[in-house]
Amino acid sequence: MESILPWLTSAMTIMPFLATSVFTALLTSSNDLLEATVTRSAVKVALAPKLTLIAATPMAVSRSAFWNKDLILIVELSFLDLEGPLRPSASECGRIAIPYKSLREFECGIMASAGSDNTALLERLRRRDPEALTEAVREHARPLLRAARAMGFREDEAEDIVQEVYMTFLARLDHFEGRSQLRTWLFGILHHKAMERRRAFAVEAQADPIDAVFESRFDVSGKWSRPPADLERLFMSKEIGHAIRGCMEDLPGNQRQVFVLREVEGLDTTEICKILEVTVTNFGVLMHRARARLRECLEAKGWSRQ
Amino acid sequence: MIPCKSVAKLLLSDELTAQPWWKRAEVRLHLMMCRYCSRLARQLRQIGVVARRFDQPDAELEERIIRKLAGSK
Repeated sequence: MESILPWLTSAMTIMPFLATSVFTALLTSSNDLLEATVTRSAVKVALAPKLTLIAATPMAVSRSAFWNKDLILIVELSFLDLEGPLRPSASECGRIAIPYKSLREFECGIMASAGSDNTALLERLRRRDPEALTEAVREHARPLLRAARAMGFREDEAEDIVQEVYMTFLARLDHFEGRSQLRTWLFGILHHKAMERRRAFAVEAQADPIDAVFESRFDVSGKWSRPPADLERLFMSKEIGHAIRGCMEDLPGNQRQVFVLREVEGLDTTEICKILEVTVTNFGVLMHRARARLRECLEAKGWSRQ
Repeated sequence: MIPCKSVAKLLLSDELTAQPWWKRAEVRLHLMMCRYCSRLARQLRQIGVVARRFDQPDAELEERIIRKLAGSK
């Protein structure tokens, strides 16, 4: 026993460092991926057999995640999240690279698992559980605010509207049968609140100037006569965020709203059509015009490289 | 082969996933061969990614709303 003890002591001292090395090695070689399992409460990423890394909540992951130019989600997770035989005592931040293909599963996982918890959350809300209300606010307030801003409201107005959405939601809770997603219902209330404030969700015009711009890019046979410019330099620049935000602010309200609900909030076509009370065809027209406008706006900012 | 204009319309209007499988295959084949249409597809994807990343409300939004809801009871 006495001959073993020093060895054990040394091993216990060395283990955290070994674990750190393994963790760093696994992260740096993260091109071999990484099966990501997503629920509302956690993101579990399998690094190796018996070694998983769990983020507390998907929201925590998304706040710390960013994209590099190869459209790979880089997620910063605490070393303390690591579970398995090599769980260390020291903390260290590491990065996991999840390819874009997995991100779709990531997003769909969040949305799919959200639906299954709908019923339980509703029951708690009907019992006026304060924690359930907090959960509903934490889950939907930000998307609602982004959607309100997309409708053209200032930050303070948008926050007031979101506040009103929740007040109405609580007042009408007993009438909500749960046939649609809670999120869909909240966005629907938001839409009606916006209409009440006379920020008209204008009926989409039959003709829009962007349609002519789109047509001008093709010859009679449907081939590109003026192909899309190479915008890689713009997309790799630090100003890309401000550029796109500026272009989004120039979108007509209805087009901006459709774009935000689809691209930023990740709602599917059926949900968006239900919220905005438009047909699928109208949705397609709005998305077409929104995306075409954004693309033309970015190209016009003079960042193209031919 | 499906013309570039038709591919661009499907990409811009977000209607590609609603198309039958053979149409989606036709578009994918076109994207493999047409650098301009594949450039458009990539740019649309990048625009969505950046829009998601940069359009974030401030950190205390939920707390303010919860306080106001609690105060209004």
